[in-house]
Amino acid sequence: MKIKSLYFLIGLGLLFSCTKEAPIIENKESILSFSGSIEKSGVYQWVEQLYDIHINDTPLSNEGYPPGELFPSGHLTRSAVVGAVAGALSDMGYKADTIQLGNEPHIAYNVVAEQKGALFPEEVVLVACHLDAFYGGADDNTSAVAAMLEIARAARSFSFARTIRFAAFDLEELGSVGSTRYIEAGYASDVSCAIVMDLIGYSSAEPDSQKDIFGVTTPDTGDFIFVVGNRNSSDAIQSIISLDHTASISKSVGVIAPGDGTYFMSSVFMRSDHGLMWYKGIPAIFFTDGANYRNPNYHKISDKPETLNKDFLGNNTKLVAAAVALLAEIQP
Amino acid sequence: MKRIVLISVLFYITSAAHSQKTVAWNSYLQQNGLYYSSLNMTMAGAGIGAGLGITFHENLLAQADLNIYWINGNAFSAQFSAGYKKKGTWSPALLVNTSVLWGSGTEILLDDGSRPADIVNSVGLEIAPLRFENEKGYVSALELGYGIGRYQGKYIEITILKTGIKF
Amino acid sequence: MTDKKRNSLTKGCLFLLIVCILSASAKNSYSQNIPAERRLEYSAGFGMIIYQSGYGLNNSFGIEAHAGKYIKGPVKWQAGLRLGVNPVLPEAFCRLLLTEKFGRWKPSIGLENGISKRAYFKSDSNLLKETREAMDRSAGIFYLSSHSELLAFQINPRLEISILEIDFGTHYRSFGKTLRLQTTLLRLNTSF
Repeated sequence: MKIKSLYFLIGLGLLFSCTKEAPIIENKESILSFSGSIEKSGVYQWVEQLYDIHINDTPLSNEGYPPGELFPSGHLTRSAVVGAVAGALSDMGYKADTIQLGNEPHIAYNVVAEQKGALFPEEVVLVACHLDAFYGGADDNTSAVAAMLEIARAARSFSFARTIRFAAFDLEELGSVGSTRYIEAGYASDVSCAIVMDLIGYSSAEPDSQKDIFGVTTPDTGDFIFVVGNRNSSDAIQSIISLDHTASISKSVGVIAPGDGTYFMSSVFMRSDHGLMWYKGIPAIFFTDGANYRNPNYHKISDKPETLNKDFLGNNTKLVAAAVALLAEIQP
Repeated sequence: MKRIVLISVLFYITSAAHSQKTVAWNSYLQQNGLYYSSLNMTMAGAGIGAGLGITFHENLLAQADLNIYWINGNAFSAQFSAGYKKKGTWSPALLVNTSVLWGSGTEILLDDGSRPADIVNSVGLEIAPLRFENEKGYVSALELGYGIGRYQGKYIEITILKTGIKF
Repeated sequence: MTDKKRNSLTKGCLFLLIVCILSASAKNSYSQNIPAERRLEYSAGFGMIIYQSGYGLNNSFGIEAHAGKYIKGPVKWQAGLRLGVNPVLPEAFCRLLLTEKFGRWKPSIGLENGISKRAYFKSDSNLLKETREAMDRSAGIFYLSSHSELLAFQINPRLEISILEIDFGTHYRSFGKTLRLQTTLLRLNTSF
C-alpha cells in the first residue's frame, strides 16, 4: 500500500506531461451495427471446416527450410485451403482472384477479393490474414481466416466509403513470403491502411497465462486481444481501443511500437504479414492473441478447434469488423 | 527584523565563501544501459551520457547528466543525483536520484484508448562500489541503479564505465 | 564498390595494419626522453562486430590498428582502421577519449565516429529471406558509437594491454534502428 502511495505521489508530481486522448469517433451507431451483424457461430464453423481441410491436405515440400522446435516445416499445408477460401468468397458474390507469385518449389497463392468503396474507391482498406498452417492450425491461422470470411460475408449488406480488399496471404510461415511478394509486386500501392490478423482465437483466464513479450510488460492473464500498431497507425489503434472500451465488444489491449516499429526490441511485434508494411510506411494494425507468448499449442499438432474460445474468437471478429467499418468509413 | 535578516545573509555569504574551498566541479562521460518497464510504457537501451558533478566537503556529491539510449527506439534521460561518497582513493558512493525519461518506447494504451504520457518520472537509488578518485578526476565502474516510476514502473540501470575530470 | 576496388582497398588496409604492428613492436631509444603524455601511441587488436537491423543480423571477427596521442590532460584522440573478416570489409574510425590512471589500471571512455559499410545483411537461411531483401534500407556509412575500455592495464611504461572493450553504437541515417555492437577481445598498445 505504501509503495502504491509512492507511485501515486510520483504521478501527481508530474506537471508537464499529459496523456494523449483517443480521437472522437463519428458514426458510432453504424460501426456497431456492422459489428453486431457478425455471427459468432459462423466464425467457429469456418474454423472447423478449414481445420479439417488442412489436416487432410498434403504438406508442402520443405526443401530449403530445415525444421526447428517451433518450425515444423514438414507439416505446412495450404493448397486445398486456397481453393476453399476462393470458393467461399465467390459464393458470397465477390470476384475472387488467386494471384500466383514466385517460382517453384514455393509459388505463393494469394487469394484476394474486393468490395468497391462508394465515395473513395481508389483508397483501399486491406483486411488480411495468412491461409497456410502447420498441421491443422486452428489458432494459427484458421481463426483469422474464419474471421475474415465472416466479415466479408457481413460486408455485402453494408456500404463503405473506401474499398475493402480481403486478402488471404500464402506462405507466411516461411517468412511472410506471400505478402512480401504481393507488396514488392506493387499490389499494395493503393492501400491506405491494413488490418492483419494472426492468431485471434486462444484465451485463458488462468493467472500468468500471458508472458511478457520480449521485455514489454503485458497483463498477466491471457484473456484479451492485442491490437498493435506503430506511429503511423497510432490514431487508429486509439480509436479501436476507445470504441471497444465504450461498447464492450471484446477485451482488447492497445500497443504502439516505437517509431515505425522496426527497432530491435519492438521487432517482435513485426512477426506477421504487416511487418514489411510497417517498414514500407503503410499504416497497419495487427490483431493477435500473442502466439507462443500465450498459446501452448503454437505450431503444434495440438492446435485444434476445441482449444479455442468460441466467444473470444467471435468477439474479436466483431472488434475487427468494427475496425474495418471505422477505417473504411461505413456509410449510414 | 532587519538586523536578523542582515546577519543571516552575512552568515550565508561567509559560510558559502568558506565552502567554496571544499567545492570541486567535474564533468564526466559514461557508457550505460537502462531498462524501464511499467504497465504502460517500456523504454530501454544502451548508449552514452555526459554530465556535470560537484563535490562538497569531500564526502557529499551531486551530479546531473543527459543520456541517450537506443534499442527500443531512441530514449533520452535527464538524471539528477545526490549522495555520499567515502574519502580516499577508493571512494565508493551511494546516491539518490530522480530521472526524467522521454523519447521512444513501447506503449500500452490506457483502457479508454489514451496514450500514456511520453515523459516518465522516476526516483531511485544508485551504488558505485568501484569508484576511484585522485586529484585530477575519478573513474567509476559497474554502477548499479534501481528505481520506481510512473505507471507502476520499475527500472534497472547499469553504468559500465564513468570517467570524470575535475576542474 | 567494385570487387577490384574492394580488393585493392583491402590489400592497402592490410599493408597499413602490418606497418602499424611492426612499428608498434620496433624499439626507439629516442622515445625514452619524451614525456608519456606527448608520445604517439600505437595499438593493435582483434575482436568481434555484430550488426542488427530489422530481421537482419550479421557478425564477424575483425582486426584493428590505431594511433593516438594525448591532447591535454586526460583527453586523447585516436584514429585507426578496422578490417572485418566475414565479409572482408574495412572500416575507418576516430575517437575522443577520457582516460584516468589508478596504479596500473587505466580505463578510458569516449565517443567513436567512423565509416563502415557492414550494415547490410545477407543470409544463407531461406526463412524471411525475401522480406529481408525487401527491407533494403540503407543505413548509410557513418556511425556513432560509445567506447569503453574497462579492463585496460599499463604493464610497463611503454606497454598496455586491454581486454573486453565494449563499443555500442548506431548509424546516423537509421539512428537507433541499425545497431552495432563491437567488442575488442584483446588489444596491445605501445608508445614511443
